[in-house]
Amino acid sequence: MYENRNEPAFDAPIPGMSMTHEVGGRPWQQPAQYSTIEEVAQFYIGQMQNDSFAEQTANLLETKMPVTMIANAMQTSNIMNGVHNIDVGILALPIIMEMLMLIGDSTGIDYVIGTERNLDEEVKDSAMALAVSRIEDNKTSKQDDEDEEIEEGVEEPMQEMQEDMPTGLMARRN
Amino acid sequence: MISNPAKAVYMKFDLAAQLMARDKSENTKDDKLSGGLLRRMNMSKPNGSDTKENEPLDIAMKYFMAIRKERNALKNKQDK
Repeated sequence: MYENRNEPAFDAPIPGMSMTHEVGGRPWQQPAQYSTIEEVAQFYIGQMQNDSFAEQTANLLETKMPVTMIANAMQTSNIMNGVHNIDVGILALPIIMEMLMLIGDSTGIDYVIGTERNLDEEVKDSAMALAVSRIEDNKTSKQDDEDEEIEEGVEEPMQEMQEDMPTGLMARRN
Repeated sequence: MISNPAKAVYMKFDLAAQLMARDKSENTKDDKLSGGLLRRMNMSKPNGSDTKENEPLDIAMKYFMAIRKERNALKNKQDK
């Protein structure tokens, strides 16, 4: 991971950093506050119905930040704070996204969902595939040419040898 | 490795919601075409959905559908 770096990464976690606190001392090492999807959904819906939250979300959506990214950040931070576990968080993601989009629709913002197809990247991928296939074709054609040259090179002295071979009945043979 | 799980999960839920909406519309068409016997048979069927509703995925889907319904209603209102 760090082999191809030009500069050393000083902000990376130090090995064993997660073990510098007592087990159970962190919120994510404790039993989650909400364990069922119903509780978690109601927690998020209740949180999002707040006016200040709607305002902040509207500001974020106006900057064209994808809804997927906001939802992911929300649920990850709540996992970290011990509100719910990862499994329930994943299940709650579409609910969070739908609520964010509801806020976006109600405020009339043209938001980015984040599930749109990135055509530029797709074109790049296809162009890459085409380039790779062309390189492979070139390689195979070059190899074929080399093989032909080698074969020709071997055949030539054989022909000479055949020409030098005596054909008469009384001729000397080696 | 999934870089953003929200994208993958949302796409699955979105597809499931669309399929469910399509199924519902097809069922209502059938109900209109069929006579009263089929409707009565469906009503007398033992309802095994009580146990299914308790699944976390179904509960999540229920919430998702409810919010989407509200969104669609809002969109319709804004279009008018």
